[in-house]
Amino acid sequence: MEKKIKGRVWKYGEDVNTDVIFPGKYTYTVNDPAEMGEHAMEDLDPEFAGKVQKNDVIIAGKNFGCGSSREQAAVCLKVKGVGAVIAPSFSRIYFRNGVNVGLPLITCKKAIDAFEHGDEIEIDFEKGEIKGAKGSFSFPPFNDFFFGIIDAGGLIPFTRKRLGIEA
Amino acid sequence: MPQTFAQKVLAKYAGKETVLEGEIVEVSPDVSMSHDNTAAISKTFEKIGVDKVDDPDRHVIVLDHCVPPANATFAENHKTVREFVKKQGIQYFYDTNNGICHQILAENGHCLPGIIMTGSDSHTTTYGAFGAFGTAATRSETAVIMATGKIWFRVPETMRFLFHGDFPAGVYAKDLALEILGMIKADGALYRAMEFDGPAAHLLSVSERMTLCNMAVEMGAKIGYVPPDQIVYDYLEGRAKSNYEPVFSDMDAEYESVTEIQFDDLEPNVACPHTVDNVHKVTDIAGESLEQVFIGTCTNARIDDLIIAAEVLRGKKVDPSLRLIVIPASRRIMIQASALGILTDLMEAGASIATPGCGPCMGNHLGVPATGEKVLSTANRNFKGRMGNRDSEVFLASPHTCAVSALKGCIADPREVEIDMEKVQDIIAKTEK
Ligand code: SF4
Repeated sequence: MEKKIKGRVWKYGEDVNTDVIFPGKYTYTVNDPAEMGEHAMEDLDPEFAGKVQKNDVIIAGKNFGCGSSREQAAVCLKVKGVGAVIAPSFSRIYFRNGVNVGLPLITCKKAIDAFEHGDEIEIDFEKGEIKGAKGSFSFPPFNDFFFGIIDAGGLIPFTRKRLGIEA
Repeated sequence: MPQTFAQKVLAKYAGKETVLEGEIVEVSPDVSMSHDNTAAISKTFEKIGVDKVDDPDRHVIVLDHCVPPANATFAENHKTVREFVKKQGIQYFYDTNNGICHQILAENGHCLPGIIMTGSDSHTTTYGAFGAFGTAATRSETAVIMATGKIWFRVPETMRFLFHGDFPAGVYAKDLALEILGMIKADGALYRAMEFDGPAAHLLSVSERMTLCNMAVEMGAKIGYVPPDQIVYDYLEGRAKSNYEPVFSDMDAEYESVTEIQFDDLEPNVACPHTVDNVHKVTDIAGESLEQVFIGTCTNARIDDLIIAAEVLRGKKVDPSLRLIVIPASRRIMIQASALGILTDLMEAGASIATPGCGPCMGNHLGVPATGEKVLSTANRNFKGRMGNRDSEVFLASPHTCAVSALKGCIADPREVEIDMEKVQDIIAKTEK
């Protein structure tokens, strides 16, 4: 995984739930990860899936990912190349699903108000630093373990790799 | 650097001096619990590609979500779990005749101060009643624990609650949990550790602490925690599965917030449909009609809860407009209730008593409501469809409120039927000995 990324901000409000990140109607019909990406954020921002670029960053309000425990709501952002999601808080299960599928999630209250939709943003995961026009903000740096899961592409492949079972 | 309980436990298990809030650490939990979902977990475990569970003694498996099985699908599921348990040599297996997982782990001394416990069930926060770090793991994560013995955690920030005073008549730990829920809402403690302390916290019984920590997850919390004390050590006497070393927050640890709660100011509460944080004082909704009352679940179906219900209902009759269903949390509790004559009291009052287990809590069987029906329950969740019918409504309250409501035929103020709490305490003390 790239330890530093640069991209643009997609800004959303509070309580972005898993139903708008990945609509429930697709949970049992769409199984291909790439296709999941095409429905990312569909009910909140229909432009998102078409326009998001690799390493773009989602910045949102509290309780990001609340609602159901569906893993697709993390997978769909990952396959779209989202570099990170920054929020003051995540639903616990979304945070775990995010990490377990290899999507970097950053809890940082202070950075939220310093960015607008479309702003440039830089993140250094190793140093734990978010940089933008209005200043820089720190978060607990990612460690090797975290990079390991993300690099392997998620918790299950990471576990197989660690146990010496090749995929 | 002074640290909170959550920081200290995670640092200890991660082999570090200190950890920062927000940091990710990897630890080996002492206990990993799973229930009927062990069948699905075992499939994921097999996909990882290892043959043997890393440490069979780490795993505690309880069949409780639909016991005895309501149909062939549940029966097959149980069979898969039994085969897995046998193949892997898992000794801590509690079959369908024991009771609800969280109660079973407590009764059998698996919950210990200062240890890390995971469970593939959201209400694993219950174990904080014993001073353990207890939190939910997803099914995949539980499969990974089976393979490697490890799981990662984000070190949570801690919200501290300080309790003072005494519960007024008709107010219990359930009302306290609902009070906090109404105050901070269902996302009020997202990913946080909730630490319950202050003089009044240490007057709470083990059962009451379990009710409170059980509901911490309803506020989004990663763990609930009551600093362990003599009450817990006494409970563990002769029960603890191993030696333990309690862990406490440092005196000058930093908390994200500190909230003081005076018990004397509390009133009986009810959570109204369809969210747990839709909390109202019982006086505001008294009179609401009901078709069913359910006293059961891992939140409130221990011996104290059943004694209270029996005190209310003894020698009286449940209102004919509704059904009362009582399901003790475990076989052991059912035996105690039977010895005390409580089961007879409740049945004479008109209650249906069912096999210890989750019962209708998540709508599997034994009391799924019909369309348009309203249920008052001692459970922890009232989401739409929770009890198995999207077109029914679920209200949550204490066993006392539930029992009085069953008598009156509608939601009623528990203070309408006073009970002698000293007598109740006396019976509990004798039973536990
Ligand atoms: S009683 Fe209800 S909340 Fe408790 S473990 Fe069973 S289903 Fe879950």
